[in-house]
Amino acid sequence: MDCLVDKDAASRYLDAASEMLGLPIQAEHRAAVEAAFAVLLAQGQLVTGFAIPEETEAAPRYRP
Amino acid sequence: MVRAGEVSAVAVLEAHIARIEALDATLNCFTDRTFGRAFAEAAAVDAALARGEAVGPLAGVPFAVKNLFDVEGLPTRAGSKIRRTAPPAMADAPHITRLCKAGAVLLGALNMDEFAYGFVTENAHDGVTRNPHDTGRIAGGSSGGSVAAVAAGFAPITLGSDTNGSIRLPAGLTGIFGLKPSYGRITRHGTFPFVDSFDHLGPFTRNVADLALVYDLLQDDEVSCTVLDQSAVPRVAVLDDWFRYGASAEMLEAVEIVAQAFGSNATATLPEARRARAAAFCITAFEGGQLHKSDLIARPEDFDPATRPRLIAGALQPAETIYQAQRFRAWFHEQALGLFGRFDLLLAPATPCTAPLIGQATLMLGGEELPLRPNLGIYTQPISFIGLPVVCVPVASTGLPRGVQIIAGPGREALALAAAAQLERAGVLRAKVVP
Repeated sequence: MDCLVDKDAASRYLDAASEMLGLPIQAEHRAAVEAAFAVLLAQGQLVTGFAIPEETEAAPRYRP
Repeated sequence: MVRAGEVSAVAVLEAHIARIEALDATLNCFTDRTFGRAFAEAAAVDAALARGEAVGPLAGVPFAVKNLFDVEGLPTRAGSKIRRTAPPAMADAPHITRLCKAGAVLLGALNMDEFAYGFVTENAHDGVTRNPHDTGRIAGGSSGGSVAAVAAGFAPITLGSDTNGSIRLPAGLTGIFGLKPSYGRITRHGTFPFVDSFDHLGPFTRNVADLALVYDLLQDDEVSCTVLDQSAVPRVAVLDDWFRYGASAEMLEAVEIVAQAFGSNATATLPEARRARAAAFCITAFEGGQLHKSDLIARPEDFDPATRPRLIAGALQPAETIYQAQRFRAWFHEQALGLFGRFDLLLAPATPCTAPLIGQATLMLGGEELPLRPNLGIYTQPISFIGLPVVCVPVASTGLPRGVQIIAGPGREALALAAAAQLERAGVLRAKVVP
């Protein structure tokens, strides 16, 4: 699935998030991180694009 | 045989070690060998038998564990370079303690993808683990050393972990049995974590009876799984839609063989499984990235190049994605429970194809050429996302192994194991161990 976010916007987001969260991206790792981030954004859009019922609560401490 | 006095535990151990010495230079299953300890444990079993004392159900049975389990005296490397210099574990993981208490003998620790983040066990630090049935192919991952060790006859029992498919997928590619229990059913204490939301531990074996026995030793529930006779005929359905998307004809045939053996023509749809896979994908990268953030800052060059970018990108994801993914998880869980009102067991392929070649970069999926590494687990990820128990079973046939997931409702491991045993007795399922 193609990512619907502009590549430059994703790159700017990565720069800002990297700085805000204190997780630097080394220059030699940058291209691979951008590629991985593009895949994650595309997958994330599948998730956020779904209309979850309002009453559904998150399951971070899920038990089956 | 050891319990019956037909052969000594030491002799059994020597035979297994001889096989490891002969074949593991090629297969690369073991990263740590604990043969000295194993001889002491085997000798203790023989001594107990000589004194006429009772021994456990695994007396003299060699086993080994994925190298994310704590083994006393060894650093728990979890497939990484970074943790090779970690302090040695002060004690065995409780899983090892329990199996040894039952008489089993620990051979060592086994190769895996770095920090369990992968499906191929092509580890940059410890090398690739090869598929015993075709050494030009991968064994799968992340529990690659664990499955290959069973398929190669190095040990009849190994332990592994499954976050997104790392028990089921490699078991399928190497033709052995694997059990991913319900989320939370087996303690994770004494193991190195990956993704708190999805991490499971479980066994690999050559038959269902051993799988049930080991599971019973590892779990604390009152329901025993070793009684494999199931009088009621389970209501079985094949999962369609996402769980058929892109699957090769031979994998679909394997699922059909299992369904027919159950006498079922039913199909069922687990809605939005594609999104479930996507949500699992995002949560995995986020939690894994957060777990390793300090090392990603301090020593990024020491990560496997296949792992590093996904962890960094994962840690930097928008909070919205992760929150909505966890909400979606609750919704998807409800959909699955709805299906279990109509069916006892659901079937799906373990993988879209048989074992790929080592180094293979892409696979064909639904007519599209896609990256191999993230897409091998497309049928396993939606299931571990909601913690359902799965027995991955090898369909008896010539050619490369084909695995099928037998999926049960939460806490119903006994049902899935009994169903697998039924098909094993009928000759539909058979583990593939190299002669």
